[in-house]
Amino acid sequence: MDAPLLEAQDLKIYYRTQGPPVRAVDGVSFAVEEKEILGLAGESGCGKSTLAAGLLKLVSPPSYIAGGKVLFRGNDLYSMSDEELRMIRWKHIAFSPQSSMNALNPVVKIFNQIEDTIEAHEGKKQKKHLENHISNLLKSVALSTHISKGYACELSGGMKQRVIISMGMALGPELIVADEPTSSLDVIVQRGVLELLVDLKDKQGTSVLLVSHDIAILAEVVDRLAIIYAGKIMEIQDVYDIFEEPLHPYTQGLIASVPTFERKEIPRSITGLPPDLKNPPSGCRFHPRCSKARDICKETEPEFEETELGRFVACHLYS
Amino acid sequence: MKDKQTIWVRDLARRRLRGLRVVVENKKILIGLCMTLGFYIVAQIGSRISPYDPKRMGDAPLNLPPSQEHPLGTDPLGRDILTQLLHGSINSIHIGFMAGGVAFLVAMLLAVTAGYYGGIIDSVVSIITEVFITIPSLAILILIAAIFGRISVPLMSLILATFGWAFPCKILRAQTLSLKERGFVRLAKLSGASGIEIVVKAIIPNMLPFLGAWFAFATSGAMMAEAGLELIGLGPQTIVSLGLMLNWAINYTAFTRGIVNWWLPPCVVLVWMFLGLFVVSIGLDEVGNPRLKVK
Amino acid sequence: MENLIETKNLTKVFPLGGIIRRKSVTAVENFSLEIPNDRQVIITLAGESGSGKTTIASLLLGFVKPTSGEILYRGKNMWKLKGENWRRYRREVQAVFQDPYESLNPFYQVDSVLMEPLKKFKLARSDAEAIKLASEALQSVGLNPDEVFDKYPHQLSGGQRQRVMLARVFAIRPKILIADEPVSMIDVSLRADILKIIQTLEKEHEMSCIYITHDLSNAFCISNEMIILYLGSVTEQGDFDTIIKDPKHPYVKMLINSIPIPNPKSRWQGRVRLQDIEIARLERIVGCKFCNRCKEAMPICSQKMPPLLELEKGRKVACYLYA
Repeated sequence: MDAPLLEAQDLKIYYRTQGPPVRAVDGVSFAVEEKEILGLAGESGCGKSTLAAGLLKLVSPPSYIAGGKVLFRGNDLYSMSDEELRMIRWKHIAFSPQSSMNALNPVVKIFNQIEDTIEAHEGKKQKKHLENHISNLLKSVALSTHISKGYACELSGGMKQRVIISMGMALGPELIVADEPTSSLDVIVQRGVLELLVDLKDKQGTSVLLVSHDIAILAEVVDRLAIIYAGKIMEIQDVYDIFEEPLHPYTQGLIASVPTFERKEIPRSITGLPPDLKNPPSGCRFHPRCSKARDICKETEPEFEETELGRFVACHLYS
Repeated sequence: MKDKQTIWVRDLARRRLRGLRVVVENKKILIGLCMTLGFYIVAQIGSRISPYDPKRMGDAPLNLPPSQEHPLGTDPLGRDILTQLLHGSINSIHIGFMAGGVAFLVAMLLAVTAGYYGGIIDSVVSIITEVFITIPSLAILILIAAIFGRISVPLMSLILATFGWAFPCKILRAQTLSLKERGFVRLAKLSGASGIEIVVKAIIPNMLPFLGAWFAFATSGAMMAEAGLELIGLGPQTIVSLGLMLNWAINYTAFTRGIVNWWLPPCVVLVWMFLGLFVVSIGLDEVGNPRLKVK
Repeated sequence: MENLIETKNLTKVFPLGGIIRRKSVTAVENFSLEIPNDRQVIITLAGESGSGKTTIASLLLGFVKPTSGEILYRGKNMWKLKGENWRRYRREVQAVFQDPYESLNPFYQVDSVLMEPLKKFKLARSDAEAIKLASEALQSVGLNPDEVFDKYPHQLSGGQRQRVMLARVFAIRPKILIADEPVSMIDVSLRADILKIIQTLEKEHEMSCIYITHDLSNAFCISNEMIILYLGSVTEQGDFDTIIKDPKHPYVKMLINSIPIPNPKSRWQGRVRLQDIEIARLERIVGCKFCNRCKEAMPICSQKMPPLLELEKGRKVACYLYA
């Protein structure tokens, strides 16, 4: 069994407040394998964006790393120096944060922005070489080269997102961490961007960690799906298995709450609200909203265990 | 439920006055008002109880240093400086607030009307505003002073107002245009509000920080302009004002002779008034932004 | 009996500036819609960005004037209504917008959002009555008046704000609600509640709704009729279920196929071609607006705009494949 590409071990990322800290990511362990798309699903406020940024140690006050490790090909990213980490970022792991369309500098030409990214990591390049490289990059995201001569304001949302993805691919990373890459895009463009990520996996062997609140889009493109709730991973399974037989009650509720064209009715959302992460519920964090909760669920936190090969769940129903 | 509802009805009446209450309760507005209004009242009282005449020469011995009888001393023409200061402050404040107030009101009315209603009104107002902004005010003022010789106080205020309204108007119009596009303006229309109601209830309250800042700017600008003109010898010259005091101070070489008690007090008063107005505008900023009010 | 709202060949063109060569963008072209007076409907107006759906909302609400075509309210031209007729229109046609925070005046506490229209439309004869109606409305949408009445907008959550907007609708009891992306900025777990409220308004309070969205899955839950727009023109309209199962127009086919389904067993087949999407929007196209992306385009498609023809009862398509 190959070593995973990226592995988080008992990762904890908290936010400092005047009172107890907000435990946004509280003991998360999972792995992204080579050549796979791993989906990370969760409601807003569940910690998934904090986790995505935290994997690359992109935490700034008031958030801080409270524990755990992130291993990239076996090397602990957290114990690296800033310089070593900078070399890893972008070159080996690319990150596309939420609303990254707004990350494009409005007064710099697209070409120069991509050029800056490349040269920041690989030093100055020959003009001809660079033009070819950028042209190929843009082609791989289905954008024509003349786009690069223009500015961000001339592009639509979908085009900007694709430019960001191409910048992420500029140095040929092995992993892309994409946080809500399609959140404000039209339906057809959204499909195009997601299919792009699949092509990157198929043709260039790039792995993708796709973070989203929308499990429908995750169902369309991921290989495995992880479910995060209140800062903890509740379930990880192969995507076909998880929709066929969701183990965790939260996953079941999540799937049932998505409107589909199969049922002409308003879907039932999970009762209650996500907990306050400054003071999360005792035992299993989901127990206040769980229809199958028992006494043990209020007292003891369930272990995150592998019940069968490749099927991980944290629930007393299965331990 | 019934009880709560009666409470809310009472609350509603209180809430109608909320606007005024909030303004009065804000600390910074109170401090600012104390500074400006307070000083004005003190000056009024002081000028009336002072036994001296600020303009009559030879009223008292010349060039006296500060003493009990003359807290700020006397000037080279034998006049009590404190009395000058008190009378001068009052006149400067009158001119400044009249000019600034008129400029501000004109600016606000034109800006809000042009910005909200658009169309021809907006085009006309915009053109006029641009014209007035580009007129070199100092040159015109000097010209007017030269032609008219002695200008009266109201005329002075009017002239200053004429050059003071254009710039605030441009800024406030821009602000109105951006507020006009906000969702709550659309919603107000859907709730049946008329144009005037929208302007008064939706747009102006959300412009309070700007209005406060520009009122302070217009008024202190007018006071400064008046002082500056008097300083160089243009202006009424018939009444004592802070600028005129400084004009005299220059003419009688008070600066080089080190008669600090003559030229410093007017400067201090001007700075004090500007500070007061500034603090009021900060207070209005807080009032205008509920996020700063309620944590 | 006349229709409540009827639009005929509604067109809106926006000038884009430029002094010598006046450019313009046709946001809506030949749009026709009917909302009956004798029953309630929830019609979905679907389309991606640039489809003109928001412009149609602005036209129906009277925020912008049509370039050509007319909007009839109870048989009379909307822009010629005066006095009591106009007031009636204003009261009976209300809206809920995408961003509830934007719709709330930050200067006032949220009770004003309810009290204002109650007073202006004379739905309450006194302050006390207004407060009673307002608190009932808030309770209808699942909010506790105690907790909400004297809060400022920034003190409420997104879901609460949108409920306040719906409480306002409850209080006014309009005949038509124009809901422009009412749930797209709301957390997924709270969307069901908002949809339920709109459904309750339809079923129990005689309110029709024009539900404007790009997300068909949510609209499907409560709506039975759909109109799909593409770059300002209607491509297909008719019964929601039927169109989903069997879309006719090539654009609608591509759109429906691209909706993500939470079932890995029915994943997207093939690929969409992205390259041309953005370019299409920028060009001034004669004929069918979709022809340069359409796999089944024929010569006539780029010459003349296809008419919106009725295929069967209630089902219309604008495509030469079915002419």
